[in-house]
Amino acid sequence: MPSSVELVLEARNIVKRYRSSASNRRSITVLDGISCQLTRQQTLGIIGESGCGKSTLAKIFMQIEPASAGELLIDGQRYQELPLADFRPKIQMIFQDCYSSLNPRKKALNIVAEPLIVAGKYSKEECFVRAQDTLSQVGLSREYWHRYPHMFSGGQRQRIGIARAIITRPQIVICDEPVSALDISVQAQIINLLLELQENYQLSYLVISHDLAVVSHVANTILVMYFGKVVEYGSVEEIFNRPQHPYSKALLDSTLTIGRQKDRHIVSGDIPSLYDPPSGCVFHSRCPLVQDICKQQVPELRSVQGRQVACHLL
Amino acid sequence: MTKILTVENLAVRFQTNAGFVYAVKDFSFTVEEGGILGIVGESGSGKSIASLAILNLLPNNAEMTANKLIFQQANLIALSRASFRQLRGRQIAMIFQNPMTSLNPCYTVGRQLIETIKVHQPQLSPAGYRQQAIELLHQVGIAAPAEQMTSYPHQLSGGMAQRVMIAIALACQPKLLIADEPTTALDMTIRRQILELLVDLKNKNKMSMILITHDLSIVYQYCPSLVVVYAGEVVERGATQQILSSPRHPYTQALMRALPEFSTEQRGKMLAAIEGSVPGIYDKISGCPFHPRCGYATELCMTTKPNFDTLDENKQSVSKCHHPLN
Repeated sequence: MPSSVELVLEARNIVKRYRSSASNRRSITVLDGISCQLTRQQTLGIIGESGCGKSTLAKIFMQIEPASAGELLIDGQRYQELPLADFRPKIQMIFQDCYSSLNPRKKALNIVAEPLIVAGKYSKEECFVRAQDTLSQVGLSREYWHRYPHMFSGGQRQRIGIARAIITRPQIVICDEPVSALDISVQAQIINLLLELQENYQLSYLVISHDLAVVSHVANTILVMYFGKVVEYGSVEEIFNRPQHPYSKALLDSTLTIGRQKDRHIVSGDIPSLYDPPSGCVFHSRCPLVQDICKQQVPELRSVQGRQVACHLL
Repeated sequence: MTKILTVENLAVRFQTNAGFVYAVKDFSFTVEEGGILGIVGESGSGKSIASLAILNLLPNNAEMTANKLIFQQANLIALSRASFRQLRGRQIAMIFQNPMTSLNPCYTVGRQLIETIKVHQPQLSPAGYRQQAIELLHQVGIAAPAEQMTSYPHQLSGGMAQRVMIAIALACQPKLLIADEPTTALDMTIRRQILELLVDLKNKNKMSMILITHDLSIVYQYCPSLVVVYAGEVVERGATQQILSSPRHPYTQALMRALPEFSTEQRGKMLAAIEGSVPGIYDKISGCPFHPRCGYATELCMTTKPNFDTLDENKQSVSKCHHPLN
């Protein structure tokens, strides 16, 4: 694990429960004890199927949603209780849907300047000057500054979203499916831009994506989530080349590539219902290697071959 | 191989405030009986509009022209509205990208399935409808099909909903199934399940299939033949293996190079991005539509529209380029 010197963001045992009106106000657990770390200028990729809690975790990091339990730290300092203005400039987010995440009534320049104006460190004029610089940096020249979001293409809109995220000079940028809404020919432009900005500003990224090729291209560490739990956590080389958890294997096997025949084995079934969580290991209902112990006992995360895995069978 | 569908010079234009705009021009391809044809293109490339045109489902402000549009022996251009209704669903069926918005949220799965069965097999009894609906749900791999008949779409997961959509499409045992991005809204594990199911059902029911997607890896794995579309035009078509191993059109090549590899070896390296963006429907581009983004473009490309190169014996693919690669 990385040394504490370069550690910029940490989650310790994050739990998130929602009270549900659908099941007699019983609470459902969507995140169950998530811990992870992000170091300077590194990228943590979070993968897992929809409904596994990836986006909820991102929202908790941003404090858009409060955690039910657990600790969040930036630079070793707990930030949950701090006023938003104290930590938001350090941690920013890029959203998946670049259509709905930009205010249609504001011009590009105003959208990008807003976080800086809210942060209140600079005069308004200064904020706009910086917004102009930032827009130029993401590849949007002067002619675009005074246009409204609907006048941009998908890729350009995502550039505006990126400019808005980096204008406060954050240490950490959370990218929730940053390219999945974009055309293939534009995806590569945005990935390149993100890599370039990471280099220039020593950014740390937390990248959520269902596209494993994208994750394998940008991430240093990988967190594999299933049903609100961490099932495997380690370096991208270890997990992509030698996955240990049956779920990580299933995810990697289900990925289609060009030039390599697809794996015949595919995982069956759907993710379980949150209202009726499985006993024991959360993956046991779909696991090809399931044993009796998997149905009874919850496996703990432990170190196996240089990464953490939660599986009884290793 | 007999062709089940032949499309020649299909064009679709829309009447707009800015005059006529072309969403699809010069679209030609064939589907072989029992085959799977992949149509690959980015958003706005006209791949969905082309399939809607085949089914005569275009909106009122659209006009379609084609030199040839032949399904089995029937000339689809000359078909009356009434005969088209006989053909649609029964002979050619379609499934759409988002199963959640394609199902009616107010009706149960069973009712929606039975509705389709009723239209196309009016001779059955109510019990017969129900039995057939359950049988169809069973075929698409839904566990406890009888119980699921009373489920509403919101009670289903995305993968289950897509299975129901497939069941509805298969209700009339079509000869040709057009699947428009059938797995784009689904998770990767579920994506594989659905694709395998489609191939399985295609073989069992002796169907042919058109798979519309933006994902080249899906085409590589599932479609023996391929059509690459850019800005409303087919730019390259032929055998998938041939095209993806040695693309002849610069767009196909650029698209493949822009994809991040599924491996950690190239991590952090810059990708070979294609500059610019996909042209919009209102953009008028002279010559080859790809020339503003093409690394090989010459003066000729800017002024003159390329034609498909002629197919010689050894080449399994044709491309529409002045300077084809390889």
